[in-house]
Amino acid sequence: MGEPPVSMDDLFLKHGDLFLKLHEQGLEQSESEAKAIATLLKRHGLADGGTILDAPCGIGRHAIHLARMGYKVAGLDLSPLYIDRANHYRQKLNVGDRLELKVGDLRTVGTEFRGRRFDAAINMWQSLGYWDEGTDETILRQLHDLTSETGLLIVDVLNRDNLVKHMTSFGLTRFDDGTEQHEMRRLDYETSRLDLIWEFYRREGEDLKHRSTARVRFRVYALHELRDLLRRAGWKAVDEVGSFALEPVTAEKKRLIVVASKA
Amino acid sequence: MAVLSPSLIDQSRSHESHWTDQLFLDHADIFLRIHEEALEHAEEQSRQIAAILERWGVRPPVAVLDAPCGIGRHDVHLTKLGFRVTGLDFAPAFLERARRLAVETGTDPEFVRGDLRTVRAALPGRDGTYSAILNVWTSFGYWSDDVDLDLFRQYYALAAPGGLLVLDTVNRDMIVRSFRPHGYEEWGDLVHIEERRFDLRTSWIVGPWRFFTRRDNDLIHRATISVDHRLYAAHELKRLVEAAGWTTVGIFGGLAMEPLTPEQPRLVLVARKDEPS
Repeated sequence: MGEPPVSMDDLFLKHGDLFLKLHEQGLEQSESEAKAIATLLKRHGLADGGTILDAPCGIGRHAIHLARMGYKVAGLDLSPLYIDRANHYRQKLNVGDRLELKVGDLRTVGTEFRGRRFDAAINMWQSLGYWDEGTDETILRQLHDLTSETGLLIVDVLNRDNLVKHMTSFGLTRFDDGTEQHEMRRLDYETSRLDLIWEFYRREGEDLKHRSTARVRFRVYALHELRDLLRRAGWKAVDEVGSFALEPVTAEKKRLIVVASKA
Repeated sequence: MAVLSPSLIDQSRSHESHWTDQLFLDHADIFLRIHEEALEHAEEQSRQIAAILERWGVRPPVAVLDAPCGIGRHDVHLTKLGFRVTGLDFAPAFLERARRLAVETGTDPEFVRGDLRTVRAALPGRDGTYSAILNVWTSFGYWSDDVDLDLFRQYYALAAPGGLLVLDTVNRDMIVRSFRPHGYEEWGDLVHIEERRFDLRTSWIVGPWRFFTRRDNDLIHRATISVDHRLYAAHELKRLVEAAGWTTVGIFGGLAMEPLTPEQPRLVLVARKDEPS
């Protein structure tokens, strides 16, 4: 790689425009994903119109749809760019009074919402594993402290066992604006960290002109590990699905969507 | 065996004896047969183990502990290579076979009867004496993560400064990749049928092992034992061993020190007892 890799903060802050593309790519599926989130939360007792904390919320793609369904949602994200974007959708979709947005760090989410109690918290789209496992535990513990006595939590991460079984070393994504993303993948078996290198190019005719390199490394969890991590943070895992179609978890499923309860 | 009043006997497994008792004590004759089959690879595996120890500077004639040792198939070869070997096992039938094997091979490893979970108590006065400790052929993960952690701590106490721990077990990620729900093996007239379920919530593999004697076209049932054990991915085992005080120095996909990949059937972890600074 010619350029030094950028850090996670660089990725979400300085290179936010590139990562924004990934978010907007995810936007189309967001409504059905939000419905699946609501279905899971209802299944475990969340009342209509209940309060949900979405941390981190990115451009608010789940938060906005949950607000449209009548929930009162608070979203937190580190990137002012994403929060701006989320505000744009909030106005466009008229959910103003049901969606609160805040710029802030997930690692201090407890301070950001000090004194608040939500009926549920959600942590979507592999938003854990970027630091060490102890940090993940403190994030989950803060979410625990921010929810009511019967509080629920949904954590959505990549399924390590699906990577073990099916991961390929290269992936390619084309964006509508002429950007092409190459993803180089490696799973480190001694640490269970997934190492991704993203090369962003702009298509010019048949050529690909290099724009930027980003490197992302995060810890990936198998189901039993995520359940154990939740337990250590005070939660009890009560349900899990392997997709937003609410299918059972197997090594064939890319996601681990675990519902945990405080009660 | 304790006599239980009928009211105390229910369907729950907690009242049954643990599968290790069933397989290694009650049906030792069956498992002895499987041990005998494994004998043919013992010499090569012992050389591989010696090569691992050599790589980290552990050479004969230092003291080696093999726990559990089964029928001592590695111990006799490691003794031939010049190590002073202690083998520990809790199954009298295995130890009896181990002593015969020593006579047959003209070697003299020490064999001690003791439960793996209390290995330190079984070897009083031996703290700090072993330059290498071996746990091979998937011989942990039978009870709980806590029992394994405690076992690795006991090994640590028994190890000499700079001593090595060699663990050889199933590579969980190979199971994830190529899980087979059924297994069939036969040794002469002994037929072994495994039905397995891999519980992703716990990372335990569970399921009955059925043993039969083949008689003409019939399979005559001998025993059904639910053999359940924990599968560790490399990063989990590394963390557990390190929580017990060890320093991981090598992770491999087999005793020949093959690189670890999700295709390798085995996971071999080598750790060292480093002096606290």
